[in-house]
Amino acid sequence: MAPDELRVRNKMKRQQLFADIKDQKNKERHNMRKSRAKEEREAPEMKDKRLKENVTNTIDSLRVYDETIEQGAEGEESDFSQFFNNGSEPPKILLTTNVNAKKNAYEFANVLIEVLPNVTFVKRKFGYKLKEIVEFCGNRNYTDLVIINEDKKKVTGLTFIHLPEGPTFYFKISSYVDVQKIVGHGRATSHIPELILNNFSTSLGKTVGKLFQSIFPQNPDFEGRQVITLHNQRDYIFFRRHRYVFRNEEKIGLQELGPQFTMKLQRLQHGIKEETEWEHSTDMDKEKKKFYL
Amino acid sequence: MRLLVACDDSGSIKEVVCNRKTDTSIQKALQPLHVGVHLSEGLHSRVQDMALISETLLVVSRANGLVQLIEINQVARDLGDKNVDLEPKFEISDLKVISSVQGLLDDAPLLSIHKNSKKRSKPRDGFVALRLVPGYTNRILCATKSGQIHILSLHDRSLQILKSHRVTAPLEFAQIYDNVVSKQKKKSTSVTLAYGGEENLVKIVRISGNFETMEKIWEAKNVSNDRLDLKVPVWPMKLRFLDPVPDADSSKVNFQFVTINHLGHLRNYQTTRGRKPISSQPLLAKNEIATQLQVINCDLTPLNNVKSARFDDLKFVIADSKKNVLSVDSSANVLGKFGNGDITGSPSFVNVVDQKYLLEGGLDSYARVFDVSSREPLCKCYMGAKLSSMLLLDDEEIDLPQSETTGKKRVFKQRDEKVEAIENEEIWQALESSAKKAKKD
Repeated sequence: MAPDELRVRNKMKRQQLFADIKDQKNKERHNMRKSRAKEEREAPEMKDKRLKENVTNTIDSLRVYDETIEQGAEGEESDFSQFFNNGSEPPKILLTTNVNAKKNAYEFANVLIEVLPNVTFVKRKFGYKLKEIVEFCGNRNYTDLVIINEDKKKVTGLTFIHLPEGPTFYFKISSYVDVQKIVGHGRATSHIPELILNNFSTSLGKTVGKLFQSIFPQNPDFEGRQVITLHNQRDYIFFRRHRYVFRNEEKIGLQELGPQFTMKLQRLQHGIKEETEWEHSTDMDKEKKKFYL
Repeated sequence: MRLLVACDDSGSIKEVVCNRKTDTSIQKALQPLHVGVHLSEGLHSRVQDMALISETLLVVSRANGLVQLIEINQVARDLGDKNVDLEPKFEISDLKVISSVQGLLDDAPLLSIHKNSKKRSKPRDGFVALRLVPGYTNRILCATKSGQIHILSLHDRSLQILKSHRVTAPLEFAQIYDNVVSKQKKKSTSVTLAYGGEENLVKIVRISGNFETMEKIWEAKNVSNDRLDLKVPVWPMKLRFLDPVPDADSSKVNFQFVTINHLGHLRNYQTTRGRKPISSQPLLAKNEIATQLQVINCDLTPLNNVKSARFDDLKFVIADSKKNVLSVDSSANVLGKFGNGDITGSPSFVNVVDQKYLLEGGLDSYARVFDVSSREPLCKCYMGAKLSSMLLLDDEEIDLPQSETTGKKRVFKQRDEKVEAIENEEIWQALESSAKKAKKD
């Protein structure tokens, strides 16, 4: 019976009647599922068939066609190739903040010092231009420069500059969860972590993936059993750090080490903050099913 | 439409054969008919500039200091097992290096001036111009960022360095003057060119007919200080000559040109009226960096100079270092935007061909062709690498053979229309009869 067929003038009675009908329908549905589950337990191929036929449409699965996923970037050499080809040279990172940074930026820097390998933190001083900082880094064989951006006592962004010739990435930072706030968190060790990069599929996404590949050494300490995951979903990159343990041949235990934060690429620039290669604009958010990474 | 595209990441030259309405970003749209990769030499030897010197000869400059002479031959396409009748009929190009010269770049002058430069990255020398000298068929001029101007001779399909000159570095552009040559159609005795760059004011030099000597004949002066009495930075990015001012004093140097500078100021100069610009208008908001300048509504010489002496009537297309390709007039009014938000990377190459086509390519790895007058995109091809140069070899459309399936669909549609017409007739009759009944009631 449809709701408009309930021509009961008393509102309370009408509501009661409608709730009863709804309850009845729910029960019918639950019974149907129960019986279907029973049938499928006996014949698992039925379940496979049903799942194959009824695939749920998600925003991810309805993603707008992007030819760069299939074709990718051409040529073995790209912006980072020089670094990868050298291979033996480990990454060396200089970490600093924006000018006149506040407590939060330094706290975030402390967290990043534990996460990034072979990192040196230098307090940002007045009077040094980016060009000079890059020169100093070049003289001291730094391979990357990371700048924490803090605004109104909140950490809002991270700039990664690959040295000596770029490119430059600027990420927005959000949803930061401190290590202490993660229930059951473990303590990270100084072992070089393994790196998992998920869903970096487009040409731009692969470039971002290469950035992270170049930051973490290619020879992880497997005995540390630590893994950093950078999971890209709908252009948001989720940073997570775990320790794993093989409980038996099938079961794996995970312990989160923290911190958690989310990054979103805002800008990719050629060289040291020169010509823009890609920039996020608010117009891009209009199309919900178009993703760039 | 046949395009040659210089791709950075693989250091290759790609030949793209496509028709109008080609769009690789839409799965169901027309796709390029052919993309051929030629002469891949890697990122460090990427092609920086290309120039056609005859129908079958091409010169390219590469980032490792090499200038190559390339022969283009049209060859039949290998269709393999495909049905010949169902495939479009066209030839493809085969590119072969027949001669090259190397060692044309020098980083040293740039390293010494880098300290005062606003550029942050370590400077690398590169080519800023590569053109056939007007009035000659066997002389090629190439200019580098480090201020070297090389004259190359082409003899028996072989390239050689004839003479090298040095000018003040750094250079952003070197534009050869070919307005008078192209009008008079006679052999020039000397070559005039203008150059400029960061803190390097526009200068005009004349190279003698035998290319042995070079003399500076004119130098611009910076504009007056701004309202805070601060020096306006000097950084011309591109220059286009106009025809000389008619009826001018013959004793004075008579050139007219338009420049765009790093801060996006469009400036018009007349050498007969002094060393400062006649007008200087800001085009871009927030002092965005302008990188490209082309004139779109006037006949152009082979070297992209303007065949007109009137600055006021000109319309330009400019590009900035973010993602905008704008059409503007001489009064700095923005007439429209090319790409309409589709371009996501800085356009490193913009050129106008025959007042009809605008070729655009850049860091977003797409080669685009626009219709200049309507600003409509004509084709968009993903190249898989950053672009630094493009050439339009021809603009002919290629006939696509109609497949059988499309014919069937059309027949089906016609049938549908017939059925629909009958149904519509029935509905109208029913309505008319019901209307009559209603009236009677």
